[in-house]
Amino acid sequence: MAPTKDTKEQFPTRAGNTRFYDEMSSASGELRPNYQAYVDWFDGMSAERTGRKRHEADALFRRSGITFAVYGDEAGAERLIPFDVIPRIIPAHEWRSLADGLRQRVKALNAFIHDIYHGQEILKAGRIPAEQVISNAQYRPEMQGVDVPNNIYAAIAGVDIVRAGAGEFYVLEDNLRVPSGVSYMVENRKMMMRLFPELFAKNRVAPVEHYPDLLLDTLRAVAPKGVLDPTVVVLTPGSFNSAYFEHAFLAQQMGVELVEGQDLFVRDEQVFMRTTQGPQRVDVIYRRIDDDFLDPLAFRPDSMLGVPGLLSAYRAGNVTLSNAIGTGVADDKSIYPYVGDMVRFYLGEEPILNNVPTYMLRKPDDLAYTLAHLPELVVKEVHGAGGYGMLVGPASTQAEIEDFRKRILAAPEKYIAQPTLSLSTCPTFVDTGIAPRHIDLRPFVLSGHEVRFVPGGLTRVALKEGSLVVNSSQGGGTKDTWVLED
Amino acid sequence: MKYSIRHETRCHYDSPASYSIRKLRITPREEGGVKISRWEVNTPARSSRSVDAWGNTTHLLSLTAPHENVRIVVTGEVEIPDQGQALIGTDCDGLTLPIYLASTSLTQPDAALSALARTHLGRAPQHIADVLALLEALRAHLRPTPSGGEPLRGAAESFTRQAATLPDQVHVLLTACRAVGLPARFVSGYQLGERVREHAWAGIWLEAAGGWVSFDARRGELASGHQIRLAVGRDYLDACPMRSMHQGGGQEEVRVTVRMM
Repeated sequence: MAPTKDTKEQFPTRAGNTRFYDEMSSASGELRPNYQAYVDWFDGMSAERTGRKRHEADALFRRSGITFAVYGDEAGAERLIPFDVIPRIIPAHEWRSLADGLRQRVKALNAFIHDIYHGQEILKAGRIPAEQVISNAQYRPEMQGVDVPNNIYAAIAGVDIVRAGAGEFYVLEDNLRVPSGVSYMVENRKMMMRLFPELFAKNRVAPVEHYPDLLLDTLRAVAPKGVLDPTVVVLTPGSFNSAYFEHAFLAQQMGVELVEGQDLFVRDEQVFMRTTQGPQRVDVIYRRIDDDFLDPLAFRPDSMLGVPGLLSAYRAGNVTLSNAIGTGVADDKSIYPYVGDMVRFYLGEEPILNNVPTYMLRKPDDLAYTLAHLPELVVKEVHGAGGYGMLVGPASTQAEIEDFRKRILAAPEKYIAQPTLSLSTCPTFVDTGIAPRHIDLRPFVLSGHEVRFVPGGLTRVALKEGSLVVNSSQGGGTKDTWVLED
Repeated sequence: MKYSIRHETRCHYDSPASYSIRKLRITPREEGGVKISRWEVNTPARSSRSVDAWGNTTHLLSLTAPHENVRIVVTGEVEIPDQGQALIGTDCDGLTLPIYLASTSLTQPDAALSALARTHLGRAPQHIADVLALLEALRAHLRPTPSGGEPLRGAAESFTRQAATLPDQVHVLLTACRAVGLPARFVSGYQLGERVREHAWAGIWLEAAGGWVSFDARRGELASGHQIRLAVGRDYLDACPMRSMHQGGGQEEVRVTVRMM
């Protein structure tokens, strides 16, 4: 909705609202320095121009086709992910410490995945219960003893970060399978630069548009040993997939082929792509298909999306899959509580980023506590993703809570619970003007020869007042994310 | 005792297939005293041999020229210990055993089945007699159905339907054992007797018995020891002798003959 009134929207004052950390203004209502230049610019802009620009953004996104299928939507139609033109601005010093924390965390996670498929030292040392790892549905015995280039399993990680309390950062989850959303990060920046070019003259904003170049470098860096000029492809489940736009976008931006399973085949434990010039060897597959569907000869036999024999080629070391098979065990919510221990165990360092305290309902004490405090907790399915199948206690009705209680009691081991975090807010355009809305941040961490990223990431915003669920599948929107350079 | 075996697999397509690929697990596992004297796998084109996650020898065969028939002939000699070998202590250590506790799509837990498992196997340490008692109860509950043309339904659905094909009988037993914390694995191989035939059974890890013990879910008894293991895994899909895919060619018909020579 574009504002039609003539009066200029005001940034909300924080009078009386100190429950949440706000990205723009401090608890006493003062503007934070990182927003100074932006707000000065905004104050000098007419209401009419703001409204027009928001319309323009809507039209541009629709034209460029950035949409996202929402599961369970009655219409079943693709929907535009709302884009908010007020950026989320991170000062340089905050990003530096976040970046250090992310680098450390992703290194430890890759070391963990290597370890559990090799010597299992962390399990032998008793730091994580062995059975919880090895009997986990995401643990893939097929990966035992398999060496992958540079020992990199999660070459692309999308780590969800939230800010809570007095402004501390917490990691909500580590997405190490097929994290999506990076195309919005790139497109949001392009959109902002097109709508408000003058803003980028007034602010030193770190660039993000080169993400596809970094991604291609990373994928080439994890090519099988001895392959000097690897052929890289993006493997998509197809155009009906909710993130198909992103698959096509990244392939196009990297200048590599976008393929479906049927475009590839395995011969003599090597992967080939069917081309008009005949079969072409493929060395690195950036796969956007879940493990279960990758190879109908090894995993789900009914998968029409994968490539039969792919696992054999992979185990033989003839092709790289990014991310590797079996990374899901490390971002499983039942393993999440141990990531701090991984940092200590593999790197001998104290974790820089905080974990959210987590109750594991497989433990009787944690279960009892959770059942007694459901209205104040967030309960998540261990294997769930995308904001589906979760209970946000404070936002739920008594009936919803009781319904969820039954589900927990039927299979407690399938759930974890966490305190409801007071996610930070950022001013956002809504129907009634500008109001604070809760946000998170998904930086994309690339691991090839070294850990690299573009500063920032994708900021998601919960557009419903008071809502803490930012997932685009649950009605969230996005914002451009600025990291200011010193 | 030495057995000479010929194992032939013929696959036929309605019309020429443009491409086919199959993963074969048709080489005996040398464990429990089993020794291979000779084993030859003959495929119509070069196949790649490797060892999979469960220690099974596999052959991957891909055919890229149009074909209507695929014939795989295995001949070999295997020696098995005379006293039989229903029990085999193995290389499994404490860290790899939990793999066989994981549930797969075909071995999803079922509340009623778990309850039945607990009545027979609820108290550790579990003994061979306890598993046999469970097997008896399962045999009374499950009507055996022929495998030919039947889809895999998995443990939970089979238990509810009170009917199961051979692989699903094994899945039901595996699921019951895992429900009480006993590592359990699917085994496919040859049953030896007057004749030799393809068969499938379960390996249950019983600490009190000293390792993997083989149980025949169909007959409801200890596997006599007159078997040759071809492959093990968490379920049928991990351990079956062949999984294949093809492009073009319509329906695939597979005929397997195993005989002693």
